[in-house]
Amino acid sequence: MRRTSWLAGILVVVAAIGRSWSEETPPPVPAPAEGTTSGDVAIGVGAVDGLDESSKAQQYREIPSGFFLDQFNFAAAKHDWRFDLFAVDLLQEDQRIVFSAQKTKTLRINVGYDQIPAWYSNTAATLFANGGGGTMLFPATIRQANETATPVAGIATNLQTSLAAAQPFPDLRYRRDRAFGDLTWQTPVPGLTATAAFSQELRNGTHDQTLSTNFSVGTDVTEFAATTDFTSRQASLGVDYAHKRFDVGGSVVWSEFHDDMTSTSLGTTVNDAYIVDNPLRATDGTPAVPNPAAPNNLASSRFLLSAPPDSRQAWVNLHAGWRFADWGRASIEFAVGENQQDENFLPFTLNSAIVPVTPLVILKDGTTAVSAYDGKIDLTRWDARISGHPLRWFSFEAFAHDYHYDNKTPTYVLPDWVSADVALDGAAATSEPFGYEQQSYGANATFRPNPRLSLGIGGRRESWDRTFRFVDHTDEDIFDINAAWTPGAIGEIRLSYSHGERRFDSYTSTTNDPAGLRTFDLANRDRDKFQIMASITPIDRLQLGLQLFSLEDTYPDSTFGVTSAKDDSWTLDFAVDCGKGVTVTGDYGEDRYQWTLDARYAAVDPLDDWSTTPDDKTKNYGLGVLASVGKRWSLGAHAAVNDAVGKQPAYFVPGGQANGNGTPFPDTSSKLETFSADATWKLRKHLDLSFLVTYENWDEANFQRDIMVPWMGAVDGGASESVYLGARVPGYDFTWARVVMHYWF
Amino acid sequence: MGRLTFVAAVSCFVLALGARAAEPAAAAPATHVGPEVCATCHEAETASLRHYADHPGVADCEGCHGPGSAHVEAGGDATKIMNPGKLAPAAAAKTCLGCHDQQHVRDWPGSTHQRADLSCLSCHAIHNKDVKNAALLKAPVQADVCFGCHKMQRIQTMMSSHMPLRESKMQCSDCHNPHGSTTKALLVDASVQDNCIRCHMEKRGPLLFEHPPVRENCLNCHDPHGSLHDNLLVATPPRLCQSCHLGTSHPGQPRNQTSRFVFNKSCVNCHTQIHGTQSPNGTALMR
Repeated sequence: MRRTSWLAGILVVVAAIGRSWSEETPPPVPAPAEGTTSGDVAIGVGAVDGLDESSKAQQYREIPSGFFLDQFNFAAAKHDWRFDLFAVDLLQEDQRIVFSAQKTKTLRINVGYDQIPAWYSNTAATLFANGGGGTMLFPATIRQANETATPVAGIATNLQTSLAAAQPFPDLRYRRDRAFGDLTWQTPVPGLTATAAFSQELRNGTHDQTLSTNFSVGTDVTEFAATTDFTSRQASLGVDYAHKRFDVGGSVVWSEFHDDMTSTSLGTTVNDAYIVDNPLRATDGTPAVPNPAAPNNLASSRFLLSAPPDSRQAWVNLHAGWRFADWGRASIEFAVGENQQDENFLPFTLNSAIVPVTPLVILKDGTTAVSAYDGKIDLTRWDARISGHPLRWFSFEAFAHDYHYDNKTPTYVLPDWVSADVALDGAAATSEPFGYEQQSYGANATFRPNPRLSLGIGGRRESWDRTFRFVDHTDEDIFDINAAWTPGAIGEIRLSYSHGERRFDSYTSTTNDPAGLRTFDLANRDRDKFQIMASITPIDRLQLGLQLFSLEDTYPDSTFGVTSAKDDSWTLDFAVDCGKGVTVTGDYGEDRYQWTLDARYAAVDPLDDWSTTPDDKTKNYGLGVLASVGKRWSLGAHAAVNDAVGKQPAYFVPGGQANGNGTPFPDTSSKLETFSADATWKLRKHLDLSFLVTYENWDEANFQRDIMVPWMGAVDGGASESVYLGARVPGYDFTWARVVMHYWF
Repeated sequence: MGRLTFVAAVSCFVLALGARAAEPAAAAPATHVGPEVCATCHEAETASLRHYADHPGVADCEGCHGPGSAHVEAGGDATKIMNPGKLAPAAAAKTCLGCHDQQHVRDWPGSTHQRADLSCLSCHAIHNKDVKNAALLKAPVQADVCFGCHKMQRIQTMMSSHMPLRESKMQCSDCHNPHGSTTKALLVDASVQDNCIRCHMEKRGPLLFEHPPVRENCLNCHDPHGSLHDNLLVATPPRLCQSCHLGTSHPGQPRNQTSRFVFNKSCVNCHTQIHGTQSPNGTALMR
């Protein structure tokens, strides 16, 4: 009981400090009496400084300035009905509204709407204008000037000068708007429940998109602010029946995805693709048919880049279970589903100068000419499980699981393909409809020789069968043991250890890969995992927590590729009741992930051996205080730091030239400091006034694309004319102070 | 003699099993008194009891604590009434499972949390009037309940690249079912892919040219709880890509930081369609 009280106490402290972040599910209000209403409203006014520095501060939220509606709850009861309305951050970019209606023993309905912003960058710049849908237009004057300019010097100068004048910098952001609802109906038939749910999500805005253009001559890579216009819908119907120890049920789930973007340029309209102007050319050209006006660039005047195609999915799920009195349960689930995607094929190219000798016809299964994709995945899943504790000192579980991603899509032969819209590659390509089946089965048992000690042992096998990969079949055998000891009210300690060995039947390398190269997700692997969790209450007013976690992977068969990986973490936390209504909490934790990559470029020359050992270290620590002063004041404060550094050292053979690439990559670092404090004054029984302040500081180095500053000049051959968004995500430093009045009615 | 001993042992085991599986003995001869009687002493607990407000007449005090007449007649003797908070985890959970044993809770028996000796009261607080949550969790923010034990994941969610969990725009239960699931890591859906694609539906496919590690498991490249690297990647390109692609030609070189194969988006500068593509020219995932 004491431990439970302490845990609750810690959570209260955390809850109080985290109050300004809370906006999840509607907090309940006391039950209104029949025919009355109740609720609460929190209104605030605030000021914020420093938000303009970086989009990162409001990546997923809006921090309001001025008046704002923090939250609103309203509840009403009438006859057997109860109604609830909950709203948080109303009229802001991240608002959420949920309405619930329920009739006792019969029906519950929830409908809601929420928004989640995703602000990627506020520092981007681009010369591309959005011509509607996914059409990206480059200024004609600059294109024409680039056509006859000398590469490296002239074109780079043109683009750099123009980009500097491209104002204002476009925001890279989109927002996810979701409408959702669900219904649960306890039918008049005892034990029979019906459910229904739906959701629709719209995702509108822009995101950063790159397009590889022309190699060896002209622009290498173009980057633009691409349109995001996605619609996702999901609906389900289900029914469950339970009678005494038996339960059975099923559901149908359907979902669809629409990419609502259409691009049109120079009389060509395509769905689910971007049409992007070539910054160097106004008309098409190839090595065979160059444009005399732009002899140095042999590319298309427009590029085509595919976007996510529309797709659909349906599942039928069935489940049944049997309870063995109060000591066990057996259950089985079975589901079948299907994915479909049947969009028309995009054109190979929009470059009119590329005229194939014979028409480029896509052949289904290598025989039938088709103009649309016939993508279909048959999904099958089943699970069987029996678990229970038939004796006070013994419990067990046995399970089997199968998931089959059976790709029924035909193989498509593409007679040729276009390399960067310059010319036909001259070789056919064949699609590979990848599929897999994953099976696992195992059992575990737990013994309790006395109420304070439990010992567990278990094992399972996980098998994968794959098509179109280097490895057709892998088996992984995992063995685990665990123990838990509760030496009285002073606390409890849990230990667990597992060892797994994954082995493939055979590994088929490609001719270009050095012998002994293995991909880490298929390679033979030994995995050891160890964990300690301890909670100790040495004295009544102090609780300590400790966790240790270690995971180590070795790849015994891999000469090249990932040869080892290690993840070590530990945390220490405490909570102290200092008396007089004061509670102090604190925590410290570290996480370190490191792995080794052994590589060789050009297998014939040992001097070209190189390797790298990426190493990410994170420290996280915090301190919090909660105090009650008298009967009317409560105070809280919390400070936390998350400090991470990622290194990517590379090692070369002594005397080796490493291809002149001896410069180490810069470290990536990220440090987030947060501080929040609040003071709440209970003015009346139903009225609180809170004074809150939040401070955040985020410093970063080489995060995201900062690691290599967007380049607009000569780097190495072929990259001199790249056009980048210049999108960066710099650090920020903001302070948000507000006063919130909370009234209950 | 050895055979008799064996038969006796088996018989004892069967009898014990049968006794364990038998219906529980009849409750103490107490009767219901009604929540109004409870409220005369336990006003605070009953006044803010959302659980009762949601199920009036169905889940009142004695729905969980059992008939209270003996407790009342004994002047509030705590030993005369059942308190789920003081029971062993399995017994405490049984109180709740008497009503809540279907839908997302039906896989609780044998689940990871159940086998770790947790009960419903490890996360839910029916009476905690100071912390209000529609799911009756012990903290207003669901993640704070989970982070009470899953401290490593809490560290990860504070990293620079993260999903909007700490902004309270999503919850742990959007991906995990803490009450039990037939999939590893207590995922809501049947596989990692199905779980991620429920929100990231644009990645679903199928596509003309696939990137198989993407189709098989998003976690080959991403860490959903948080990462130091952009887009929740477990490592920064080109090193991430080189963990599989180390053959001859340009993938196998260590590269300089100003190389066009490294700066900005690195490999994805050109191989932009890293999740797969529908373009007829997509054999190298460039279009």
